[in-house]
Amino acid sequence: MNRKVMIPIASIIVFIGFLLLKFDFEAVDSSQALWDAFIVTAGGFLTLMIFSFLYRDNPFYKFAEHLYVGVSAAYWMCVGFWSNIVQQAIPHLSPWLSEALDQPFLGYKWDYWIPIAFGLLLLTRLLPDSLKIGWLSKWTLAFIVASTAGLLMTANLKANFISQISSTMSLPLLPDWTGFGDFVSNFDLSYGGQFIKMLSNWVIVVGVISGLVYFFFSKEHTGWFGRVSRLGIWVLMVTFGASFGYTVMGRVSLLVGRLTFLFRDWAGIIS
Amino acid sequence: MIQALFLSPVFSPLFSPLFSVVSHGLGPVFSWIFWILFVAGVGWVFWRTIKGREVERRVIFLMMGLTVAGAVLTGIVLPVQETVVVRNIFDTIENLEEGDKVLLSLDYDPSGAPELQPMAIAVSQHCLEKKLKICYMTLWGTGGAMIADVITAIRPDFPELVYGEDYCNVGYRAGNEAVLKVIATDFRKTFPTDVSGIVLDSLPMMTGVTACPDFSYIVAIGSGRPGIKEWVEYVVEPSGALMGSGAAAVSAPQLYPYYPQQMNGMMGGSKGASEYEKMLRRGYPKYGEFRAQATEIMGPQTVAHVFLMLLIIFANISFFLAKKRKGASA
Repeated sequence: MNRKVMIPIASIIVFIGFLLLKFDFEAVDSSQALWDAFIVTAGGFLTLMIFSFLYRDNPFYKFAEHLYVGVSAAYWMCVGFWSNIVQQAIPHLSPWLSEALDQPFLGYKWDYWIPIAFGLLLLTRLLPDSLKIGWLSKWTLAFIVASTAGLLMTANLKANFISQISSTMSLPLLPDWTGFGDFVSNFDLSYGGQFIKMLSNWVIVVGVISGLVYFFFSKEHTGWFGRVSRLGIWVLMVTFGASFGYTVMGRVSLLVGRLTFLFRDWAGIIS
Repeated sequence: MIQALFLSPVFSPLFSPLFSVVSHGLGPVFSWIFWILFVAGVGWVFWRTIKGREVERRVIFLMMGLTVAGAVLTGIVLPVQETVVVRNIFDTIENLEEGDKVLLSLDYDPSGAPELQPMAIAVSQHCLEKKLKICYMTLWGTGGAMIADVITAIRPDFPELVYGEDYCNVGYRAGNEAVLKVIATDFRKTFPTDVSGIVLDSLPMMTGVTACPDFSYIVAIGSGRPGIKEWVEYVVEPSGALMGSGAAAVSAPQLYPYYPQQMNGMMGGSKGASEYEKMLRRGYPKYGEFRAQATEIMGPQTVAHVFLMLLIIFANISFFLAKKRKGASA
């Protein structure tokens, strides 16, 4: 027996062994207990298979990767069908189909046929080339691209441009200012204190201006302009550093989540 | 005696993590072994750095894995500092009146769950403690399972909850930004029924809700697109609805500019979630015994960050030493 056969058989035997270890033999509902044990064992094995890529590419990783892609595609297909067609379209198209699919009939709406027609046109790409109607799918794609562009343009302009400029320019550089005497006597270094508020606002305003100066290439970056530009690049570096730190935090959270699953739910080392 | 020295007021802030073994940890002996191995591992990397030898990436992966695994097993819990950005969300919910409606949008998938699910659970618990009515929705096809998990997690603490009166789940609708564009002005046009096909008009808690601004507060918890950015662009800006958010750490830095004008608070990654859990425990002592998922993550987080920072410092030392050696040999 060669390795290509032995390794999968050995893996299945080990999997069954772990499955039996996780199986609750005293459970009243044995089929539910078997399902629970299978889910936890499969989760543990798949996690280790994915982690194995950190050493090098291998068949276990490939198996887990392919399984993930297949399950994801199937999941999205089901979600798309039940959520879009069954829950949204059918209740407005047919009382008979609504009843058959256990959905309330919400009355006929002729405009629901438009997206259905566009959806069918999109599928013409899958038809044989000899029919020469695949180009019809471009109508749907054109509609999607145009409507998305239209939606994004107006929303982006307001939320990410006008409002952001307004928010930056309306920042008070001396928040809650009642005089220098009050500022000194009530000096507070806490997060919500006046000094930190003031510092934050100054950092934002100076950071925005110096960052913009760095990207202004119509004037040579020398003299005072160069110094402001230099400050701008520092601001950018700090921003990238903060983004990197947050990214590490996100990735470590995922790792902690997986390890907690392995130690708590799968291996049962910690309670 | 050594323990007493380390636990003294002078040293305890530095060494308290060594002894802060919570219920799920493996005990102080394991904690000591972990820290000794951690220091030895870091020392080994430093020694290789000084000698100008490379450390293979797989060794770094292994060390990072062991560091986080050890921190998880020791159950290190570190104090969490509250910030105004998170407190604003807590205070907003705290100041709502009994019976007010909150829209909770969970726009993430299982890969975002470790840091976002604790936020969703904590916010839900807070809302239900205040007797607010929660409407769950999602813009992600995978979000339906996340909503189901949150409801399963909170139900034991609130057995008296009645579906349709205290909370409801309208589920997922495809369309990304288009969904938000519509619900900003007409909620029922996109969500005529809930997730199980029950007509929204028949749910008592949805009486009077015609559009997003009819909810007293919106909390969007998301890890990508469509998510918080789209909520701001298509709901908050045109309708003026009041919104707070919870973002995955990766996307949080890009979303902070929306605070405080376009959203009044934000929980950034597991740090934000742990802050909210802390506020919840302080405001509602019954959650003192509650398993604070995000707070548990923050211990290993800190250790991993310390390890990573040391690696960056060592890499820089190595770089400058190599430059110096090159200069000397030239």
